[in-house]
Amino acid sequence: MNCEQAHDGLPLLAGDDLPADEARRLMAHIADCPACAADLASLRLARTRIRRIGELDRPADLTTDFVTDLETALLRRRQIRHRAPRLVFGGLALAVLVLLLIWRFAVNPQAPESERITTPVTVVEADGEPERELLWTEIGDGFTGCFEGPYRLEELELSNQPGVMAVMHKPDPADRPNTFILDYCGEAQNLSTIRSYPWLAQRLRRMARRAGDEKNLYIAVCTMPESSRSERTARKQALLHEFKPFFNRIHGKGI
Amino acid sequence: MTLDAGKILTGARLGNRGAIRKLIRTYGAGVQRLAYQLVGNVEDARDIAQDVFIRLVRNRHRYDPKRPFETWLNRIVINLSHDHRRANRRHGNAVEFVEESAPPARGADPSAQVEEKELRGALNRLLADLSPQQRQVFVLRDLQDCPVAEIGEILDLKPSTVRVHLARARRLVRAALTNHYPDCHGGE
Repeated sequence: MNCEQAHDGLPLLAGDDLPADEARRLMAHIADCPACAADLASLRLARTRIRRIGELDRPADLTTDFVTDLETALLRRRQIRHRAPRLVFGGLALAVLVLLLIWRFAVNPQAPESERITTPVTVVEADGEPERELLWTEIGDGFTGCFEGPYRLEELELSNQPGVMAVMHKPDPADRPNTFILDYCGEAQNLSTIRSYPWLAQRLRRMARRAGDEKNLYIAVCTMPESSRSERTARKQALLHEFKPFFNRIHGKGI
Repeated sequence: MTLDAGKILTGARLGNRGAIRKLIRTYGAGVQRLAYQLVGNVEDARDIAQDVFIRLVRNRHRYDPKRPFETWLNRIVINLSHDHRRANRRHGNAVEFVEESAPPARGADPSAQVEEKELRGALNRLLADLSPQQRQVFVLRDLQDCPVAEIGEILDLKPSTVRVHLARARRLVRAALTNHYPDCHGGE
């Protein structure tokens, strides 16, 4: 064995990660090669130092908050999932929704997309960029037409359908009641469960602080029955592209 | 593992508060620590840890009791941490993999705390320079003490591939570490 052949094995020998026969051959070379012996000693020292630094990691330990948030989230999911009457009503609601959708797209296909928007909305881009007003109904090629709302977040009972949601607030409720700033956009397999996401609960609190009041938080929802995650993500990405919502930018994460 | 993970997961799935608490208390710190070592940010690690447990309970049926629970758990942590970093990059957010360090132990000496923070920041910077697979292999082997074969199972790689990534990562880390500890310099 020469030094070039030893080069790849030395870092592994430093952590005793070589198969025994390879380790033996390498050790035989090192016995006659001071340069490789020095390299090995240095790699061992570096490994020891790194492991010592790694032992310092005591991230946040498990604070009561963390355990409580998580327990609550998990238990809430279970309650949602296992509450039989809810399932029955959920099933009925789903059936009604399917019938409505059939009526909407098959029986009455001429209905304009934008009629599902309950309020004509202007959404404003902000946060460090020049304010630019975009009429919600005119964005993209009508993709926002599927959105219903915005509704006051605290009042909305979210459906158990897959979909995309956009959380927003009114920057100037008194003078511009139909103008919103988009704060966050996410997608979910089951929109009704998003409230139980612990990180979302935390972010909603931050969004409420940014909006000035929890009552000033609104949500628009686009239900996409039987959609795949990539379809929902595409719609979400379109919104992100247009509005660059603050909380998506700082967390880089949807639901 | 001394606990029956399958039973705990079943209990957690059925909403047994004690089982959920046991699951979190048994594995929570380890999950959060691994996530932190992979993403280098306490708050993100906390988010990832929450996601991990939610996914764990939700996907309980996918757990194969014949295989070690920790392997499955670590795979989830690795995947979610990777997704998290990728999402950060996709959305143009700088991956916060630098100065932040884990909170020091309560009651620790302030000067030791400063040194700890500095060292952890240095390690974060070293890890940030590695490729995702090098970082995963390095963290699992050198910070988490997982055997190479187990790392192969977690990452779905052959042990020989794990060794290649590990060797490269150790050389890169050693080279970077030389800036902090000149005596680590070797025969490069």
